[in-house]
Amino acid sequence: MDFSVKFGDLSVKFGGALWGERMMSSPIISTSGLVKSFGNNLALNELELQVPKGISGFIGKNGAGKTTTISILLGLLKPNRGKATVFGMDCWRDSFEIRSRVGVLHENNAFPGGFTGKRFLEHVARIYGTPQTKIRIKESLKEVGLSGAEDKHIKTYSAGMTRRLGLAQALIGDPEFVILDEPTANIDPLGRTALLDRIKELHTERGTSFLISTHILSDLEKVCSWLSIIDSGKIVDQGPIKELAKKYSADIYKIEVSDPNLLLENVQQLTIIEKAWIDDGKVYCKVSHTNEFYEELPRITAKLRLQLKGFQHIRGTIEEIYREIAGNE
Amino acid sequence: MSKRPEGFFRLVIWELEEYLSFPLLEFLIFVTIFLVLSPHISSWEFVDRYQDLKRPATNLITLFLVFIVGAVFSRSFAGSFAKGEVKMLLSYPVKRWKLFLAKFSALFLSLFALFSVILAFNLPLLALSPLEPMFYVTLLGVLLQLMFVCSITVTISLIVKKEVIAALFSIVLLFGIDVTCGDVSYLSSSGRFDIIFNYLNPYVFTGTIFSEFVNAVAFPLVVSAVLFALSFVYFTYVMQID
Repeated sequence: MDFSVKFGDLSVKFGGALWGERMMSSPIISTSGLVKSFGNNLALNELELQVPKGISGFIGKNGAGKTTTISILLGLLKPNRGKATVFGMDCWRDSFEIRSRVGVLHENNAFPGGFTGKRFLEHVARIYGTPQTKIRIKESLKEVGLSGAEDKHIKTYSAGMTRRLGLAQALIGDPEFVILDEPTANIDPLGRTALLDRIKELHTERGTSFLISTHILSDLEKVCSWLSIIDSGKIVDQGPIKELAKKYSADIYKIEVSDPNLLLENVQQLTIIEKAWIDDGKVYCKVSHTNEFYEELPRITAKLRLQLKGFQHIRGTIEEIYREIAGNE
Repeated sequence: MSKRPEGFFRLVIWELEEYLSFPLLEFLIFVTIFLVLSPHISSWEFVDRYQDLKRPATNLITLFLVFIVGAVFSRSFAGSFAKGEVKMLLSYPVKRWKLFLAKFSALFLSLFALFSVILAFNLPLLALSPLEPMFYVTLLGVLLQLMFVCSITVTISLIVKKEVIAALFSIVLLFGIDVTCGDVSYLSSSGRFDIIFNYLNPYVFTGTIFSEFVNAVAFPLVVSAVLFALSFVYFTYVMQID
């Protein structure tokens, strides 16, 4: 909710819109009117992607254009039309300079199977010019949980281990910005949590920014502050997650009372309730007018002599936002 | 501590470690054994020993070189496209021209060195000196054929981007040219090597004239240079990595 505070003649506005504007003051990625086609297949259609510093999510259906966008950002593909910049530099013309400051984990790994994990990271570190290579390799392997497997050939790694190695190679050049395409795929739940924690740490400690493309939306929920949603080669919406949540997800409340069925019967009669249901002994209400609901609920519970045991406002999840947007498209 | 990126030589080492490993090395050992065993000493006359030196070189140029180079180069170029390795490498701070030259030069030079060593095994068996000029004539023939086959395979690899198709297409094309043009034309690999070897052989007069020799040298050089330049420009400035 936006609100403003006045100090004499000075008016300061707080709220999502201003926050979004501030986040976008110096975007890392900016594309305008980006078009890319492969034969008759239009992969990107006037793409307008903005990614600020911080940890951002990039989501969309399979074939929506995420990988094509990433390839253009790295200078691997040349757009048919439009402009794409990373750090303010042109993605095709200045791709070498961009790649010197960016770490990447592609969706499909193509690591040389005959190399050991350590040898592979050594090559990558030396290409980036990482100082104190051996120490950094050791640290990287530890960070991603591959200590002990460094001398094994990559072809003997499991899918999860290969993914972890991919993360290590994306981070070993100490990049300012990291693009991760499905980073947590094939990684066990504990490993996923550790990885997401590490991403947050890197952002906090070193100021590293991330663009994470994934289908595991709950992962984004834990780390991202910005979300860009792509569909059929177009950005359908983007912005700070809080703003998007407010914009797309309904206000849902979870109420725990002594008699949920009785409460359900009564709240269903209210016009401000769009939908109400019981799940796991709790009443869920999808509300159209929050303020009125805040007034009505205590009145109803008092009238019915119900004991209010719990009350929780459920914030819109990325999944809800995505379902709302992708479902509409 | 500041960053000191390594480019070209790191990529050369990467290439050598990755592509000159199993099963290529085993195959090369087999070829070496075959080529070492294939010559036989006809007589102790220099003239005959030169012909005995020519035989393994001809086997190498017309047969094994085409297979080995076709397989190795299409694996390194087309195969790495198909696997996504080029995409991965070009996501690092690697310049396209460096990657192309590193791939090409690493494999080209190492294969030429290996073929030279293989042929050099024949020298003691034929009781020839390592400084024997005709040995270096055979190396010239190998070098020209290597350039010719490499450039064709790389060009095809960049077009089709599929390892098996690139290898098969290159090998069939090269053998097709040889079969179509016969053994005496400078257009065929055996014809070219014959012309070069005979023209420079001081002990045997075969009637090979200078213009034939020039054609035999110039043809693979020009074709290789043109295809190499086209492939280089295409890879560096035009190619889309998807």
